[in-house]
Amino acid sequence: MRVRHGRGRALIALAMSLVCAGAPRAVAAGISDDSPVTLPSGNLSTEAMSIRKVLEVYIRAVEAKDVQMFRTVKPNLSDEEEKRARAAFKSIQSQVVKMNVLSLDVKDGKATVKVSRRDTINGSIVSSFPQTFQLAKETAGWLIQDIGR
Amino acid sequence: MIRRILGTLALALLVSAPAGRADDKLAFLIPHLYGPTGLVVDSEARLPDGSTHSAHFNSAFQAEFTQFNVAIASQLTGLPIPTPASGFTYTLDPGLGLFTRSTKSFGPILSDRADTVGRHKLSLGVHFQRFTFDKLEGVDLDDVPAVFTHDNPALGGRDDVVTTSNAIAASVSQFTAYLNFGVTPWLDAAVALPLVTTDLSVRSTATVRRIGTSANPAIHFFRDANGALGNTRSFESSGSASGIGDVVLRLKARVASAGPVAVGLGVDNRLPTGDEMDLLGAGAWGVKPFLVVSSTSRTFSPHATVGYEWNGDSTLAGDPVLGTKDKLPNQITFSGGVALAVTGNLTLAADVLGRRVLDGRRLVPRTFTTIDGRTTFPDISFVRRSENELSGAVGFKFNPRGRLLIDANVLFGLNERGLRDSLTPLVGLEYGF
Repeated sequence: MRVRHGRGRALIALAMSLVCAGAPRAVAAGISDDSPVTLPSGNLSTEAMSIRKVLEVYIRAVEAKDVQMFRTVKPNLSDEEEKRARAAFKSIQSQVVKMNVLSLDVKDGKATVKVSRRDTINGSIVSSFPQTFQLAKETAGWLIQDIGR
Repeated sequence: MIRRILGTLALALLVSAPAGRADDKLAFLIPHLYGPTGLVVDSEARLPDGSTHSAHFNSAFQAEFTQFNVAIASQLTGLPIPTPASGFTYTLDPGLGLFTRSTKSFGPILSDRADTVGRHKLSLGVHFQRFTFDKLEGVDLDDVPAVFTHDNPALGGRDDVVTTSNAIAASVSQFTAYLNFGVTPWLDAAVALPLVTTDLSVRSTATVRRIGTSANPAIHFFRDANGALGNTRSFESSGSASGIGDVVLRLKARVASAGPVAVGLGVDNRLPTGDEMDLLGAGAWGVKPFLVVSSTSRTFSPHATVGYEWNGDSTLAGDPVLGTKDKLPNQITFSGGVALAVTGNLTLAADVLGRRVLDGRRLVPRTFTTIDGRTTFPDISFVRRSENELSGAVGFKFNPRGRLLIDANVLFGLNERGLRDSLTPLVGLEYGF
């Protein structure tokens, strides 16, 4: 009897710990300073935060070398681009991306985001380079239309 | 990390000490083979004034075989630095914002390509090569014939000669550590530090040939262990030395590119840090500007280089015994080859490596005819001329994990010019940070 009681407590404690561990992580993905995307100071508008989440998914897809995840934020990926993406992911063992948003212009459901990006490939630092994302707001939310320098 | 590596290299330079006493140096091994006064045979003949006949014999072998020293030195200067450009190069696909390996090929092993490692990137490597020399100008080092003639040769007693059969065993083990740093995206600076061990032994069997004194063996002879008048005597000498070789500093820039083709310019500066008297270095400065053209297609990457090496004065090219210097021959260097990416982690490399040594002293086999014109012996002489030395190299670079490359290569002669090893193995490791 005592044993059964103890097992029930343990299961409750385990469930609580899982809930507690999950909750802060969900918050962290959205607004914590752990984000690989740094916005310009003071830019905390809803649109800016939504676009930031898109860029975070883009970075996670790059770091995880996950083409399907990549496609969720850039659904207009052509077959040829997908092939290039797969080849790129295959040629790299590890990649860590940090992105610093330099400017963010939102107008009429379109957004232009200029960033400075710093990648670490296979543990080796690659110098920073600029990147420009063109996004459009669809029914599913903000999606990447075009990526350029 | 970088500081630690540089510190280790500096320490290695500081602890490198010259080996042995001055007269033990390997450069003296052949000139001193028969003793400080050269090859003198025994004689019981008396000169008219009553003094003992000094039967001194001379040969190009002893007088000019310093060419062998020059050949080893030249070999050391010609030892190719394994290409320090890391096999891992990445380019950005701007349309996706993704990096991809610009080439599957890890590049050549003993030649070069125009690619640089990238800004603030570092690659380190160690390579080991062992040369066991077999031939010099096509002459087997196990049996180098040389005829010694009497001082002031003339018909009669001075027509006698001493023939020698000389066996030379020479090997050079070279452990090279190198460091290559990307100063800018298009400019690399590299340093190669060789640690060299040279082993040299010579055995000379001399035989008195009584061309003009056959009736009186007491005029020229080698006294044997029993005190009798003999015909032959063996002379042996050997030595070994280890230490820092000639450090090479390199700058290489990728100056132009069009599509997959890139052009690079570089310059190697060879510092005379190796003790030339122990055959560890050339004993002279060397400056070699070079041009490299390469293509970095996905799997098949051809490359070609051409350079010109100016060399300074070295004791090895002069007279080590007298301490006089002469100019170490300049060289035109050239190479070409391909690197073939068989898989994503295996590249095969094949190269032809060549150099034209300008106005160098060259051993030439010849037939010696005695003054009486009736007897001949195999002999050697030396001439100055320019020659092309061609070698082939095949090997592979294997990437077991991360940015580590394992290199293996064999170098072999494509002609018989110069000092030759039939097969020179190379093994090495490279790592890019």
